[in-house]
Amino acid sequence: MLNTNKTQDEKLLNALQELAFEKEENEKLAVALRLANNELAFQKEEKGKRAAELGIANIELAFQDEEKGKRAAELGIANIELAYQDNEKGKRAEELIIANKELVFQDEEKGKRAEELIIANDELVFQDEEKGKRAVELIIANIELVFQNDEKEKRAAELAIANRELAFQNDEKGKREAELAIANRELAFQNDEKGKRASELAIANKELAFQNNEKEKRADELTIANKELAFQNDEKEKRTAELGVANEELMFQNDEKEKRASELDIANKELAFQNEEKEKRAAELAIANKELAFQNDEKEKRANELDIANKELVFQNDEKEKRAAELDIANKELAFQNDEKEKRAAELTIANKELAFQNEEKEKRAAELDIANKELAFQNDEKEKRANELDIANKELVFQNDEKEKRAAELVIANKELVFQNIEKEKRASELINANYARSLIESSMDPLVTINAEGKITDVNEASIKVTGVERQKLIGTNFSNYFTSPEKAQKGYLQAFEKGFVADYGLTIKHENGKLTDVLYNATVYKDDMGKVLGVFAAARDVTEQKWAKDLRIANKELAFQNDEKEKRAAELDIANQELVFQNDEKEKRAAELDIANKELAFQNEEKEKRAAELIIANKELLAFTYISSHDLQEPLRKIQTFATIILESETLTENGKNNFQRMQLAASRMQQLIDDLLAFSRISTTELIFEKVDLNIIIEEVKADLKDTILEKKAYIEAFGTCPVNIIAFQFRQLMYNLISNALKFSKPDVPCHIQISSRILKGNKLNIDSLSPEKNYCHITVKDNGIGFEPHFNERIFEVFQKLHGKEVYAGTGIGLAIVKKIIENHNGLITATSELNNGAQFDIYIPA
Amino acid sequence: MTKPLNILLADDDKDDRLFFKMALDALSTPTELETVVDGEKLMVYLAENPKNLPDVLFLDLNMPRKNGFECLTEIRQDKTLKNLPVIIFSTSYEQEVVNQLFINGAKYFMRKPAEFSQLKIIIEKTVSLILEKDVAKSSRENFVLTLQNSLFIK
Repeated sequence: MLNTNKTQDEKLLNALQELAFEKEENEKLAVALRLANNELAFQKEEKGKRAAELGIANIELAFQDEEKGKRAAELGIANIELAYQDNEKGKRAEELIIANKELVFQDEEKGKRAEELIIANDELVFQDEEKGKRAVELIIANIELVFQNDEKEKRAAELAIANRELAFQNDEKGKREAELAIANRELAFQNDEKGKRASELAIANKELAFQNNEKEKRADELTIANKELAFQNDEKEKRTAELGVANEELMFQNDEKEKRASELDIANKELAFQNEEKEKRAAELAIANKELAFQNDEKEKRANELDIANKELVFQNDEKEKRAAELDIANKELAFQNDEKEKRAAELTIANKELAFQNEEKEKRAAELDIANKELAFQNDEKEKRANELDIANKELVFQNDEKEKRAAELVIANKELVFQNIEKEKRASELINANYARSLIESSMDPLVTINAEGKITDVNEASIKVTGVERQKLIGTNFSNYFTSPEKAQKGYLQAFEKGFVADYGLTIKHENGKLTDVLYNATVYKDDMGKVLGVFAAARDVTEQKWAKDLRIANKELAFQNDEKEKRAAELDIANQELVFQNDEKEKRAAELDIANKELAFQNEEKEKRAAELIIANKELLAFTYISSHDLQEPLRKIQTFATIILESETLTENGKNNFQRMQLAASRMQQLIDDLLAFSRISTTELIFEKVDLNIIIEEVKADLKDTILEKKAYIEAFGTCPVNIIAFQFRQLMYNLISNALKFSKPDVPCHIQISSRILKGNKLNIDSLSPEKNYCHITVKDNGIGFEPHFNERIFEVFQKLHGKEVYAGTGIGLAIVKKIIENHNGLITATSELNNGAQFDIYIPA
Repeated sequence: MTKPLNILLADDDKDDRLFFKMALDALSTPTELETVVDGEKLMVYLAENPKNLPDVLFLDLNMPRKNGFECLTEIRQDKTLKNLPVIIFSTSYEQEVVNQLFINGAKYFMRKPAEFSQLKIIIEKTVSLILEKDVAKSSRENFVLTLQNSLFIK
C-alpha cells in the first residue's frame, strides 16, 4: 500500500488540511456554543424570573381566586352563572395549575438541560482546550514539518549548489584541462618553434660557417691575388732592373761610342800628325822631287779629301755626341720613367701592404668569425641541450598532463558518479518531496493513520497502523475499521460521525493488537474529497497517547542526515585534497612556465646576440662591398691612365723599335691587370650579389652569348650547336656569365687547324640516374653538357682547372687570368649544383653541369 | 664657318681632363672646351652662365664635394637645364649604376677607354651625335656608348 497513488495521498493531505480547517471551525463553533450557552443561561435566568413572576401571578391568581371565591360567595347567590363561571374558572385554574406544573416541570427540565448544557459546555471548553493544545501541537508539528521541509529544501538547495559547484569545478577542471592541453600544445609548439629556431640557427650557423669559409676562400683568393700582384711587382721590379740593365747597356754603348769618338779623335790627330809629317815630307821632297809635286798635289787632294773625310768624321763625332746627348736625355727620361715606375712600384707596394693589411684584417675578421662561429656552435649546442631538456621537460609535462588528464578523467568519473548520486538523491529527495512526501509523512508518522471508505472499510494504512494492530497492510485493507477496537460500536460511531459532520476530534478509542496488547489513542478524523468535492472517505489519525515514537524516528532521520553530512564532508574533503593537488600542479606548471619564460628570455637574449652578430657581419659585408668598389674604381683608374699615357706616347713619340716593343709589353701587362681586376670583380660579384632565381630558356642565354662572341666565332670559324635545351631555374646573369666563360674558353682553346665545334645539350633526369654520389637520388637535375673539339687537357688537371688563378698555358700562348673557370664553379655552387670536366690532351673537353631542376 | 661646339667637362682628374682635351684637339670638328674640377663648381658654372650654356656636358661620376650622381639629379630638376645633354664619363662600369643613370636622365654612358685612340673615337662619335642632334634618340639599348657600337654606327 505504500504504492498508493499520489492522488490518494494528496487527498489524505487534503483531509489533514480539512482537519485543521475543521479544528478552526470547531473553535468557532465552541465560541458559538459558548455564546449559545450564555444565551441559554440568560434565558434560564429569564425563565427563572418568569417562573418567579408566574409564582407571584399564581399567588395573585390564588388571591383573586380567593377574592373571586369571596365574590362568588358574595355573588353565589346572585349569580349561578357566575358559579358556572367559577367552575369554569376553577377548571381554568386547574388547567392553569396543570399548566403551571407543566411549566415547573419544564423549568426543572430546563434546569436539568441547563446543567447538562453547562456540563456539555465544560466538555466543549475542555475539548476546545484540548483542540487548542492539539492545534498548537499540530502547528508546532506543522512548523517542525515546515522547518524540516525548509531544512530539506535548504539541504536540497545546498546539494543543488554543491552539485552545481561540483559541476562548475568539473567545468573548471575541464577548462583547466583544456587550458593545460592548450598550454601543452603551446609548449609543444614553442618547442617546435625553438627546434625550428635551433635548426634555423643551425642553418644560419652553417650559412655563417659557409660564409666564413667563403670569406676564408676569399681571403685565400685575395692572398693569391696579392701574391700575383706581388709577383707582378716583382716582375715589374725585374723589368725595372732589366730596364736599368738596358740603361746601363746604353750608357755602356754611349761610353763605347765616346771612346770610339775619342779614338777617332786620336786617329784624326794622328792623321793630322801624319799629314804634317807628310807635308814636312812633301816640303822635304818638294825640292827634291817635282814629279812628286804632282804626287804631292795628289796627296794634297788626298789630304783635302782626308780633311773632308776628317771634317766628316768630326761631323760624325758631333752627330755622335748629339746622339749621345739625345740618348742621355732619353736615358734621363727612362730614369725618370724608372723613378715613376719605382714610385708606382712603391705605390703598388703600399697598395700591397694595404691589401696585406686588409687581408690580415680579414683574417682577423675570419678568426673572429671563426670564434663567433664556435661560440654560435657552442650556443647552438647549448640550445640543443636546452631544447633536449625542454623536450624532456615537455615529455614530463606531457606525462604530468596525462596523469592530470587521468586524474581529471577520474575526477570527471567521480564527479559524474557524484552528480549521478546527487541526481539520484535529488530524485529521491524530490520523490520524497513530491511523490512520497505525504506518503512518507504518513508512513513516518508515529500515529497510526488510516483511511476509511463510506462502508467503513479500511482503504489505506500506514506503518504505525500495522504496528499498532499487528496485522499486515494487505490484511488491514478492505476490512472493517471498527474490527480493530475494543469497542467496535464506538469506533463505527466515530467514523460515521466524521462522515456526517466532516470531522471528529480527539475521539478516544482503544486499539486492539492481535497479540492482545491495547493501545489507547485519540482519533482525529476528517473527510477527504476529490477535486469535484465529492467525499471519498475519512482520514483518521490516531494519537498514541502512551508513546512518543516520532522523536526516535526523527533521531534516526537525524542520524541519517548526519551520516549523509559526514559523507558529504568526506567527499568535500576529498575534493578539497583533489583541489589542493590541482592547485599544487598549477603551481608546478606556473613554476615550469616561469622556467620556460626564463629559458625563453635566454633564447631571446641569445637571438639578440646573434642578431648583433649578424649586424656585425652585415657591416663586415658592407666593408667587403666597399673594398669591391674601391677595387672597381680606384684601382682601375691609375691603371687606365698608365694605358692611356702609353698609347699617347706610342702614337706621338718617336721611339726605337726596342722602346716601342717595351711600351707594348707594358701595355699588355696593364691590360692584363685590367682584365684581372675585371675578373676578380666579377668573381666577387658572383659571391656577393643577391641570388634571384628565375626560369630561363637556356637557348636565349646561348644566343646572347653567341652575339657577344660573334667576332671570335667568325674568326675561329666556330660552329655552336645547341640541342635539347630546356628552361632551367637559374640566376640569369650568372648563368650568362657561365655560358660566356665556357664558350669563350672553348673558342680560345680550339685547335688552330680545325674549325671549332661546340655542342651544348641539356636534359632533366632524376639524381639516381646520374651515378653521382653527391646528388640526391630523388631530386630532379638539369644536366647541361658543353663539349668542344679543342686542344683539351691532361685528365689529371680536371679539378685544378676550376681553381682560381690556375692556368695550364703561359699567358703568351693563351691569354687569360685563370679566373674564368673559378667563376664558373662558383656560379654552379650558387646554383647548388655540380660541375665536372672531362678531357684528354688534344681530344676536346667536356663540361658537365648538374643543377637542381 | 660653323660655330664651334661648346663642350663642358666636369672631371676632377687632371690627367683625364688632359686626355679629353688632347682627344678633342685631334678632332676635325671645331670645339671649345670648358672644364670644372668638381660637382659644386659644375653647378656654380651652370648657374652663372644661363645664357651661355654648353652644348653638351661630359660628367665624371667620382668627384669630390659633389659627385656626378648628385649633379645629374640637380640638373634634371632644373628646368633651365632641361635641354642640356649629359653624357656620363666614368672609369668603372657597373650594370646597376648604369641602369640608375639612365633612369636619372643621362643621355649616354661611356666608359673611359684605356687606349687613347679609342678615347678619340668615342669622343668623336659622341660629338657627332651631339652635332646631329641625335641625342634625343637616346634609348636604353644604345645608352652605353662602346667602341663597337660607335664604330658600327660610324
